[in-house]
Amino acid sequence: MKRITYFFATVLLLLCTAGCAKRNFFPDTDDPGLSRFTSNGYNIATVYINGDAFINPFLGAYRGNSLPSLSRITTSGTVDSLTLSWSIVLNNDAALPFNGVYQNISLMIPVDKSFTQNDFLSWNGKRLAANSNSIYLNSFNSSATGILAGLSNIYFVQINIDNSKTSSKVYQISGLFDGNIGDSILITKGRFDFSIPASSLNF
Amino acid sequence: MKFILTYIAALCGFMSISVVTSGQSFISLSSGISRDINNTKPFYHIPVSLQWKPFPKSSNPFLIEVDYDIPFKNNSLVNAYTSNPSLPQQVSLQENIRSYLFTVSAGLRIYLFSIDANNKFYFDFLLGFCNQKFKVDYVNYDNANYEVLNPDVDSNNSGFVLSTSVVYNLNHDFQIMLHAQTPLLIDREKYPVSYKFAAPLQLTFGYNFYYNKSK
Repeated sequence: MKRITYFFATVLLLLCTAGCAKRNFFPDTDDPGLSRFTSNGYNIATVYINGDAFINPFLGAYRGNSLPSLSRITTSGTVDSLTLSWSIVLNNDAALPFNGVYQNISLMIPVDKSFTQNDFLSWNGKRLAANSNSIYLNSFNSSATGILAGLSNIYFVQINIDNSKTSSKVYQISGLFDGNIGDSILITKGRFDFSIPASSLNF
Repeated sequence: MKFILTYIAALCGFMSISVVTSGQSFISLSSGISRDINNTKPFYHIPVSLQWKPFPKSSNPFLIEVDYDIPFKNNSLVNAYTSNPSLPQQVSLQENIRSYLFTVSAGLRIYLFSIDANNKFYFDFLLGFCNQKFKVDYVNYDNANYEVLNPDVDSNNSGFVLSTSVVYNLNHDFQIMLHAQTPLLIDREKYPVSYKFAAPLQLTFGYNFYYNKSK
C-alpha cells in the first residue's frame, strides 16, 4: 500500500513539474509594470493605458499566459482587416484573474483581400503608416462600457518563423504600438512578444 | 558537481604525494592583463592577484589566492525602436558592459622544473569561489521614446570556479604567471542576455615577498 502511495505521489509530482508553464514576465526597470521588449516567444504583452500598466493575464501553471488571436476579418469593403487581439488585466498583482476597466485590446490593420502569410512575413521590421490602423478596447465598466475605438501606430520590429520548439511552423512576433481613443484614453509604450502557430491562422 | 568532486579528489591526490616547492612562506602580488575566453566578444580586465603560501615546508604546497579583475568597457552597437511616427523608427545605441570579477581560491602549488637555483617553474591547481558582477548601460538612450529589443541587464552571480596557473619564478623574487579560470559552474538566470560568465585568462607580472624560511 505504501509503495502504491509513493508511486502515485511521484507520478503526481512529475506531472506537476512537467506541465508547469512560466509567466515569463521580466520587468522593465525604466517602465514600471511593463515587461522588457523581447523577441523570445514569451507570449507576453504590456502597455500603459492612461498611465496604468496592463498585461495579458496568466491563466495558471497549466495554461500559462493568455494567448493572442491573429486573424483576417473579411469585410464587404475593398480591404479586409488583420486583427491582433489579446486579453488584458491591470498588472498590479491583484488576486483576481480579470480586473481593471479594460478587458481586451485589438489592433486592426487594413490589408488586401489577397493577404497571405508571406505578406505578413514581409512586415518584418516594418513600421506601418502613422494612424492608419485602428485600436479597440473592450470595456465593461460602469463609466465606460462597450467597445471603444481609436487610432494606433504599430511597428512589427521582428517577425520570424521559429521551428525550434515544435515541428510545426510558428510565427514569433515582436512589436511596439501606441494609440489614442479620442483625447481621453492614451495608450502608450505598448510592446508584445508572441508566439503564434501558423496552423491557427485563417490567411 | 561531478566535475568539482573530481577536481577535489585530484587535489587530495596531489596532497598525498610529496611535492617539492619553495621552502619559504611568501606573499606574492602581481598584475597584468586578462582576456576572457568564454565570450565571443571577450571582456578585458586588469587583474590584481594576491597569492599566499602560508606554510614554509617544502612538502606542504597549500596556496591561497585572491584575484580582483578591474574591467575595461566592452562596447557594442544595438538598435532601439519606436512606434512614434514623428521619430526615426530605429536608432543605434552604444551598449557598454563591465564585468567585475572577484575570486578567492585555495589549492596547491606544484614544482615543475628549474633552470637554475633561482629560476623555477610551478604549476598551481585551485578551487575557488567567484563573484561575477556585470553592469550594463546604454549611451544616450532615450528610454522615454525608444525600446531596445532583448535588452541586456545587470547581473550578479556567485559560484565555484576552477583555475590553473603556470608560474615562472624569475630571479627568485619576481613572478610571471599565466592563469586560466573556468566560468562560474552554475546555471545562468532564466532571462537570456548577450554575455556569458567570464573565464579570464590572465598574464601577470609580480613580486614575491618571502618570510619565515623553513629549516
